[in-house]
Amino acid sequence: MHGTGKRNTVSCERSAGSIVAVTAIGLFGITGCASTGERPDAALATAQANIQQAQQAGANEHAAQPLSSAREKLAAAEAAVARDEMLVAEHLAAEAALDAELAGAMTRNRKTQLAVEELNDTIEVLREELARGQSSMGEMQ
Amino acid sequence: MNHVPAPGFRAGLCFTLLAMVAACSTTPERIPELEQARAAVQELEREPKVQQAASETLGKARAALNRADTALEDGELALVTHEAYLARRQAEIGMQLTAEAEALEALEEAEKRRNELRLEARSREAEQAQMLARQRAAEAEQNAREAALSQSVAAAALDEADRLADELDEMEAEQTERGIVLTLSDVLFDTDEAELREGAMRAMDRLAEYMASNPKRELLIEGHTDSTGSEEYNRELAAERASAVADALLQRGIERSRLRTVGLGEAYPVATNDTAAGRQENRRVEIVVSDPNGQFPAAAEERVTSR
Repeated sequence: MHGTGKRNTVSCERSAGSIVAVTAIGLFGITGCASTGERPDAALATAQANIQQAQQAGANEHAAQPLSSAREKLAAAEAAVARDEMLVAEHLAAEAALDAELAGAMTRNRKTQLAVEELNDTIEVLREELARGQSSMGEMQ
Repeated sequence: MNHVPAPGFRAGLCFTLLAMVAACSTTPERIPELEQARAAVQELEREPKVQQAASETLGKARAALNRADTALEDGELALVTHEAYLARRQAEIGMQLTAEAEALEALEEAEKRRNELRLEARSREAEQAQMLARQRAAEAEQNAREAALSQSVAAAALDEADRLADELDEMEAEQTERGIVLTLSDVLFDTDEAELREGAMRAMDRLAEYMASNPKRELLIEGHTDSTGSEEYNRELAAERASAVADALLQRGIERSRLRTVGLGEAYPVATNDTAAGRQENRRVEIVVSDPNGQFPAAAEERVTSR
């Protein structure tokens, strides 16, 4: 019968006479950004998806640190959900999502660097072959 | 359930809430996480490729940094740390994106370079193939030249045979694998005789003149008969006729050392022995002329020594 209080609706001039509501707002303020709100399903899903993407890209090999951080934070977010600490869960999920995104970006970057190195090796081999060809050409002439 | 609270109570509650907010805003101004995040964002801002590769990420990083600053003003410390973390992570993601963009550029350059090298290698191969082809062509040309030379030598020999034939009008001269061969036909001898007839004398004069002006040339004089009569008789007659030719040349001043005679008898017919005309053709003396150095082709030597 009384709506759950949201911080942005807080107003001392509020005329709605509901002690319960005001008390709920007060409690929220005291527990300090730590609880209530809805289950952060979107943030959790984003974190999960980013982790999966990073794994598929090969982050286990190329970006193990941020990937494991993402996993730990996602687990912590789920634990927070279980404790009904939805805001904490949302923050943890958002951080996990960025950890995983970083892991993916690091992996792609590292792979590109490896491709450059490999290509440079190929170029070196080609150059050597050409140099040898040059000298054998000299023998022919 | 609906009861109105006393005004005093409401005022007190409002005061409590205000006090709580005020208490929150007395937090310290410098938060290490926030400063690290700010440094990370500034580092990303300095990246040359940031606009091209990570402008969206930079925007998100700045927004998170702003939210962190706002949270700090509001005294919401937990939120400051969280937003600072997000800002820093976004900045780090941006750094990876710019680094990857640079690597991609390097990759493109390297691919271009590799393709150039491959092209160079291919054209080098083509060049080598061309060079090989040129060498082969040169060899072929050399071979052709040599062939032409030996042909012209052969042609010269043919000319020589023609000239000899002109000079020795009583005799036939032809170029064979044994060299230039002059044939004195049967009509220059009496039947069954080794004596040269008067008509052969002019031919002997010419041959002697030729031998005098080609002092290194030698002659191989072969006597041939038809198959009439015994083999032994034929060989003897053949040898005698060959000797008669040699004698005629000796009389005309040609050294004996330059003359070899052999009676080959009926072994090398040039026509059938079944007709009178064929038998007449078979009765003949063949004079093989050496090359200018006194050498005879192997085929000529073989025929003489096989006996």
